[in-house]
Amino acid sequence: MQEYNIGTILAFAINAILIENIVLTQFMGCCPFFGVSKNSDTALGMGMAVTFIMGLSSIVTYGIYQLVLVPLKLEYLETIAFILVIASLVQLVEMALKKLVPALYNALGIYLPLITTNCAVLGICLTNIQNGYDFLSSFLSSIFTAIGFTLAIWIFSIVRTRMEETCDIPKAFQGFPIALITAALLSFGFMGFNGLTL
Amino acid sequence: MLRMALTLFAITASVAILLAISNYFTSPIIARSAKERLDQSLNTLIPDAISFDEITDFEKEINIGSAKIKVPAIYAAKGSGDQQIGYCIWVTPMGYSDVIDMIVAIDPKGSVSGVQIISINDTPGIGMKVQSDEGFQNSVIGLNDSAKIVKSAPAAKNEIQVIAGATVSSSAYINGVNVALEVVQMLKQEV
Amino acid sequence: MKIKDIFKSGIITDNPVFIQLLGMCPTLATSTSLINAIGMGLSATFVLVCSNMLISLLRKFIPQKIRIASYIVIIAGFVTLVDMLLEAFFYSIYNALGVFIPLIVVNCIILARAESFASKNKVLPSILDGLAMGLGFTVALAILGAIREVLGSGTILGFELFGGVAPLSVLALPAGGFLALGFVIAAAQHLINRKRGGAD
Repeated sequence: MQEYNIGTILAFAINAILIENIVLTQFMGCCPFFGVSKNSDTALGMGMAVTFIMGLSSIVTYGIYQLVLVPLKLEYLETIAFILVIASLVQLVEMALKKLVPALYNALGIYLPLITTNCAVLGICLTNIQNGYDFLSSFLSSIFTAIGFTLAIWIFSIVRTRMEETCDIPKAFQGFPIALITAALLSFGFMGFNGLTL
Repeated sequence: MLRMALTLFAITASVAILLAISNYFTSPIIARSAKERLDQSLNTLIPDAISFDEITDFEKEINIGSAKIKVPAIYAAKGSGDQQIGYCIWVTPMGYSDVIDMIVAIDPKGSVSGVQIISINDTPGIGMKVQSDEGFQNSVIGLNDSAKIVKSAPAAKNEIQVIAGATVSSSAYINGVNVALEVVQMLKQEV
Repeated sequence: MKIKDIFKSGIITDNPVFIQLLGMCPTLATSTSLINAIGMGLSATFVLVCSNMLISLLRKFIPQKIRIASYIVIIAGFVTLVDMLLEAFFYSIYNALGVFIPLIVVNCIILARAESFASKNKVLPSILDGLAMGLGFTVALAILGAIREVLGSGTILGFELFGGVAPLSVLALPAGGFLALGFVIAAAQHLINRKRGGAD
């Protein structure tokens, strides 16, 4: 992305949220997607926590990569550096929220530690670098990707609650298999966005 | 507290040192094999060339529509007697799930003489058809002006039909060729 | 625990993918073909064995409070090593797996084994546990990879099977990944149910 205007940013957003949805087309962040989607409130909470951490970690990892790793020719340490950044950020945010905004901490608290092992966060930081994005593009791509994650997990949780309340699921498919098949149908739905020409 | 910090620091430092050592041994191999793959592609594209000189002073990004396509390298192919016999332009259009790395060869008259895909990583059986469908790959040969992407049978010389069901990946391929053509035109204006 | 039991548990009764439902992201993303699935499985196995070994060796030195951070650093170190080795010697696999190689760091299976096994056991059992769990992961990926490649692309290890026709090309798509894994796990659950109590 070279010029930032409403059009390009919108195109970028639609692409990251709908067309290349991180969970449904790239399989990143599947663990929380299946793990915390049993009801829609927790799903939204998880989505918000991920959005927060993703935005923050894209800024910090961009800085570390460009200002520390590149000048020192240590690009090969990016995986270690990024995962440490993400893990410490998660810890810091947890401590800060607990002290400063207890209400938000109570809402998001239990999801925060889980984010360290959410591969979508590390994945998006690595692909931002790989795609050679500048600072603003990295940040926007992380935020939009996280919104895509939130959208997917929220829709999924709603479908799942409905289905488990009302459907008579064959015994072998109960639990995880039917969740996977629901995700497959959702993924088919999102494939339709492929037809959008931006 | 201090002990914890020191332990963690010691672990991190030793991991970093071990990686530095392994990087020292693997990076020349990585660089060499990357060079070999590149040389092989260049030689397949313009077999008559004696040397490929990299053109360094060039803008590395070209805009096509809203997309920005990187041009990692440009090579001028020299035949016998230092004669210019074509260009090879390395372009990286965005495919469906990953960037497609491809090299486009352009002859001195300014038309496409061949394309080599170095790496493509799209959906198997769909986007990857770009790599296996030689008819599609060859349809860009002879183009000398920016191609128009069409979904039905081409009506004019500069129209290229995408592969049905693999629109994103095949459009990326055509865009890559368009970028290469544009690069060569820019080069010619400079001379 | 006997060696046989360790392997039986890792590959069948506690299979990390089919039974413990861990490591979903790499399972779904890299099982589009058999060769990618095996490449991913073996890379993760290598990391798992090495990190289990080192963590078990260091288990008395690492203070309790910083253990997770230390494990992550050790795992990330081995992952970076695998990343370099693959790029140097197996470029086609490196290229096909892409960002999923560095993402082995956040593969829950590896951290789970470090925390629940290697940090409490001696070196040799930890290595065997890593090997068994890694092979279980590889077997699961290979099964899924074979199904998706044969039905989704009509090939096996790149060879054409049905004269270039893909019987169920939907399985090669992202959605097909969820679908195939859903059916395979349903089959596993069905077998378990049958073994437990006969008719259901």
